[in-house]
Amino acid sequence: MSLTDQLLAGLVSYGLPMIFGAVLIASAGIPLPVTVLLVAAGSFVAQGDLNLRWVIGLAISAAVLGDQIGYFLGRWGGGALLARTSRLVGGAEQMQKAERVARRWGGPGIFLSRWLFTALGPAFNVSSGITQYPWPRFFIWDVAGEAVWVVLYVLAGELFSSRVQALSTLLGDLTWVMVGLFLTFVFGKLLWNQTRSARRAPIEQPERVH
Amino acid sequence: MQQRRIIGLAFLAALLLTSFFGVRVLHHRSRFATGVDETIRPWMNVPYVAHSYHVPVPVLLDALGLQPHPPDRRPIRVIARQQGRSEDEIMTTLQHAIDEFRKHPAPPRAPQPPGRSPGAPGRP
Repeated sequence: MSLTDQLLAGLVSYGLPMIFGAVLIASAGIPLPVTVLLVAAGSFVAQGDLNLRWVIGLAISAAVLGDQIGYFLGRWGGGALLARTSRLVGGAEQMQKAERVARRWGGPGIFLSRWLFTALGPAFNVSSGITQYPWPRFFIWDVAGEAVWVVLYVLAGELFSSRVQALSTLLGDLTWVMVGLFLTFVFGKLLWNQTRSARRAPIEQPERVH
Repeated sequence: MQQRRIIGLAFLAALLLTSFFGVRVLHHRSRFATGVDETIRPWMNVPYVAHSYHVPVPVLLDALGLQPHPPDRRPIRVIARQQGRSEDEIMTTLQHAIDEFRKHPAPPRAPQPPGRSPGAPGRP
């Protein structure tokens, strides 16, 4: 049986504790297919086996708790990693720049990575900790994003309760499309900036010489 | 120059990722929209299979020789283990029961009051 099947069998057998445990572990950074778990939980809500409020409340709590683990791992254990990374990307100055970018765009990034670019969520948790993104702000954006994620997927499961597998596959692929679009935009912008500065360089160079 | 090449490759990889999953989304969207039946899997329980295939729960429980009340909510893999049968066998039995019900839809067998013999009206 695949990992997804084992998780879903666990949901059928144990219900709410399974949702809490799996979502907590996945949010802390261990890759588990919890999207399908939330969709299936929505389906069991529609069939009267699970209570909607309990499912939503427990899933949000587990997700937020797991995210805090990732954040504080980055914050407390990120020192050595930071030193190594800063050498790779061009020194302390580049890292300070990264911190400034994280502080400026961190909030919306955290929010969107909870429910739209879900595959990037654990990386955002750790990087927010490493870049010392203020914890109260991280927490608020995190709770808001996780609430959207849980409500969206559980209600989708409740609405299309007879097609858990088809819906999960569709939503899973859609998430990767969003991640792909996000990365295409980021790398496209970087490439554009590099190309522009490379074009300017030969014009500026003769001025410096004279 | 080398940095630009690496970013260019990353950009291409991101485009490929988007296209690959974009095609999958289009494929799965059409499957989802046409309402193709879900494949029965070992994680499912009988009430979910019945719900997914729009078949009364007692019809499927009856096919597996299980009591209709209260409905058995264990996953197929647990039922298989406890009945000493393979998961495939259980899933095939369920699929046959669904096919039969779709060919000859009939109300599920009503629960028998004590003392009555089985085979009462309503049996498919």
